Amino acid sequence: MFDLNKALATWRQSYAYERSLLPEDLDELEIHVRDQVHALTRLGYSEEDAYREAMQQMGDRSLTESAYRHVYWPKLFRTRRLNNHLSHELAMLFNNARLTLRHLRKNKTYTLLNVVTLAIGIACCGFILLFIHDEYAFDQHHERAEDIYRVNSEIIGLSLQRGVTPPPKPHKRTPPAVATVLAASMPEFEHTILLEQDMRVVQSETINAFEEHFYEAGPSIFNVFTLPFVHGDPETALNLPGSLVLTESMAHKYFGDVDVVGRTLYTRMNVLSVSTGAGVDSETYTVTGVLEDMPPTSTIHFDFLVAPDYDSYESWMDFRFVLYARLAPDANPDSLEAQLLAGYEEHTKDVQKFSRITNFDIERLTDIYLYSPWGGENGKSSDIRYMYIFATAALLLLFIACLSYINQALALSLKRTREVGIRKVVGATRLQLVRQFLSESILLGILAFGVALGLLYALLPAFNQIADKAISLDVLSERWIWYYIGAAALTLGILAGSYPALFLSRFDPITVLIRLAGAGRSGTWFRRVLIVVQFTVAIGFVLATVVMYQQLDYIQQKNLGFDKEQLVVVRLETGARPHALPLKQELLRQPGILNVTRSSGIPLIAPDYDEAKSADGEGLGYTKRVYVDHNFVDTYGMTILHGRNIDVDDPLGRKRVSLVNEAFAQERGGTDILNDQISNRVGSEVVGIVEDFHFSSLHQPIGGFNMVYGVRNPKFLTIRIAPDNIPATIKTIQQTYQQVIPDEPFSFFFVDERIDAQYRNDQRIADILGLFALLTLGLASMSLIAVVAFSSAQRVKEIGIRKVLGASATSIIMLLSRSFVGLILLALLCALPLGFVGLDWWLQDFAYRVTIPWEFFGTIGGGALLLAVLAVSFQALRAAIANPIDAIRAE
Amino acid sequence: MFPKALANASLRPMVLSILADGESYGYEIINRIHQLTGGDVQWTTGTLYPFLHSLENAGLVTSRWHAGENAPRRKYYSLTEKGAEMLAREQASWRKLNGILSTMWEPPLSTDPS
Repeated sequence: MFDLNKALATWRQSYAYERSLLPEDLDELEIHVRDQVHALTRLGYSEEDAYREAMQQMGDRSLTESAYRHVYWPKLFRTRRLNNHLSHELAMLFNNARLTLRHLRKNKTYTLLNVVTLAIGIACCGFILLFIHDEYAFDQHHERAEDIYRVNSEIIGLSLQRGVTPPPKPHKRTPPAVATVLAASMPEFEHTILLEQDMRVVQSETINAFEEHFYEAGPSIFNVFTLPFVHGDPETALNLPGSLVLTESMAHKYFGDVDVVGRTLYTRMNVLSVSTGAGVDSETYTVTGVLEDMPPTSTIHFDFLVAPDYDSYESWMDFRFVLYARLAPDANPDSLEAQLLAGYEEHTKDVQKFSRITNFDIERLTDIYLYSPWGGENGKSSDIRYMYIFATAALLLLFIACLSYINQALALSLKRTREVGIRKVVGATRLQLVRQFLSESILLGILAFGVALGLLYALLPAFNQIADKAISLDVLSERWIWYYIGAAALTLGILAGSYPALFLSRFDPITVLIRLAGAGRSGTWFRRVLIVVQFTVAIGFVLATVVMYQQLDYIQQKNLGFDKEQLVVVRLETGARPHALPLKQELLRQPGILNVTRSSGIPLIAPDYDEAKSADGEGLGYTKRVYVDHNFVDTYGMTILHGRNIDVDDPLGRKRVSLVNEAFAQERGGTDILNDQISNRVGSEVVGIVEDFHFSSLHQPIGGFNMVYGVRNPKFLTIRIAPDNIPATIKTIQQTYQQVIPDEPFSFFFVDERIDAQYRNDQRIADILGLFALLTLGLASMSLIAVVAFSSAQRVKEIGIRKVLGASATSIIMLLSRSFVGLILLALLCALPLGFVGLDWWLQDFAYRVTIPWEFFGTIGGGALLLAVLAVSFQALRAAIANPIDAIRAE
Repeated sequence: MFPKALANASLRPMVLSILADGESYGYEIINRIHQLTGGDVQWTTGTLYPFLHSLENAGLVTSRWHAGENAPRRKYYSLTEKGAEMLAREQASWRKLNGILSTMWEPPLSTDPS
């Protein structure tokens, strides 16, 4: 029998938690329905039909709610109930927070796991963001940094033979006339500065040392770069010849103080005789300014600046200089490049040249570090591709952490079905439940951020070591960063918690309260997709790391064509070079010294690069050239393949001899080149062909190399030392050097360390990705454990029945593990092609690289599978040995 | 049936006009509109009442709960001074519009002298 009052009560109840309909609004609508029912029953409708008609005339429910929401807030304000409402909302918020804390305290393990999972993801993201921020910060400290550019040029050497077109070679150097003649007449160039780097011996009253970062530069350098002065005046510091500006560190080094304006320093450069202290062979400078030290995020590094002794230098052929310029803000570098080229061709058409500029490239200063192939003046460079790799890796790790959180939350959800059922029965709407669960995930997100910040502080020194950086957390003192962190914590909590919140709030109270099967069954495929995605990413990281380490190992183990171990190189400055032979002879008498050689260059430090010609003038292409003595090949451990080694009695002068490498010989007739005369700045007869050796990093292919006998001006002394007691041998070398050349500073390096330094960036990436691989595998495994736990909990009755019917623990484990093993295999199949493509792209950067063997992937896949099986087995075993009676017992 | 846009535009002047005759309640208002328009304008209950509340938020009407003689407690709406001014403006606008349209649609004068 239809009961109007009951029907209206049910109707009202359905609106109970629709906030936009106040109780008096429901009263008003109820009265309207009653009036309508009354009118319709008088027309002959039954009460039930009249009620239905009245409800139909109520209209679409969603439109009704929308219309009421539209007038809700003004109504609250008009009726002065806004404060009450806000108080109510605040009370709800506190209640949610209280319930959240209670739940998290009750499930400490779950809370800890989730906080740690998210914190790891956030901390890794934080480290990478700090790293990328630091990389992008290079050279940003200059005022108007966006308007500072370097003018590079592309040069080809000109051959006397017509038709010979050597490849154009990009240079970061530019003839000075480009600045003093061309740019000076172009208003877009506001200021220009020509930098010439020198390596000098610098001497004060107490210190005598070799310095690499010594530059000649005019006063306009302070108009181009921002170089803050500690003492002195930038307006006058480099106006006069004989002026010198140095950094604070150098002031401390040479004078023990910073306030050193007016003090004197001496330098030695193009001096061929020994001098002691300040003498006529030294250059004398007066300190006119002290600069702050260059920040670590600077590609330019000046320790000393001296005024050049010329006003204007208009050479078109001198490539010693690097040209920087500050352009007008609206200047167009592309059109300036074309103008410079046109101006250069016009000015040089009648100038006899041995090389020609074919193109100018105006490169922004702030792009040099990440984009330029030559890096900055201090040799620092990175690669923009690494930024993309790291940013992607960090986001992937955070993504994996979120997926892991979701799976863990879902695993716990089955314990909360009763809670959800009871709350729904007493009137909680789905929206309220979603808000509750989102509150939990937001709070976890905030906790995770707190832990992540702690991890950042604690692990930053270690990260700096891996990444070869000097990052600080000073950025956290900026107020704005905390707004971002707060917003990020909130967003992360919402994103990670959305799916579990929607999933949990969906449970039907009847189903879950009487423990009918089916609670939580939906969404299984989604959870499995999460597992596949996580393991795909984790396997991908492992693949990348293993192959990178393989490549680095290959580099370190590869036969370089010479023996790099126990090779010490002593750099000889101008004043030391005349003493190279007596020093060599004295060293050969010392214990621990196996061999010594003098040369104008060594395999690592780019020797001269000139065109080689045959005896009849035919061009043989460009090749590297060094001048060596007779035991260069023996000292370096190279192998003579054809012909003979240089002999000490071989003639010098016009009839000198040389050795070439295989690459040179192969392009020019192979062994036919033996005994041929070639000209490579100097003429020589080729007496031997040496096995190819790597004289630059393995990123570059081996080119031609010519070792010419007879070194007059040796810049390097290479010493092969015995492997035992190396520190003592180094000390012996230093003492011998100082005995033979007392007035020149001693500096040395190990060849193998210098070679390894070439791959510092690659090593850095491999180390960071290795760390990521470990973390993602860990997170993916935790996630898998959670999903298996969820699956076991869902199937607890089934497992109980199977055990009662005689199933063994092993068969239960197999039952639970089977599907997850399939997921890991699927992840492996997904990771393989992605990994192959990505790694092949990275390896293209190396001229010499490992091949990626397919069996490798199998090993890695097998390892991931084993890890997954262990993770699954642990949880499956718990389910398998549980008491089946507990599982089957009815409520 | 009137087009929806026209029905929406005319709701405010209609409701204000009804209330200009005296205090009324929601059911009475909706019935009055139904009678006056011959059923051509039909409003659902769920949208009329929020509309009344919006008029109240705008200060054009005011409301009070009271029980009439032999009648249950209902919410009665009445026109405010501001509402009366608004009604006057609406009347002027609609009359003007009616005049323009009527002029446009008047048949042309016959040219037949007879």
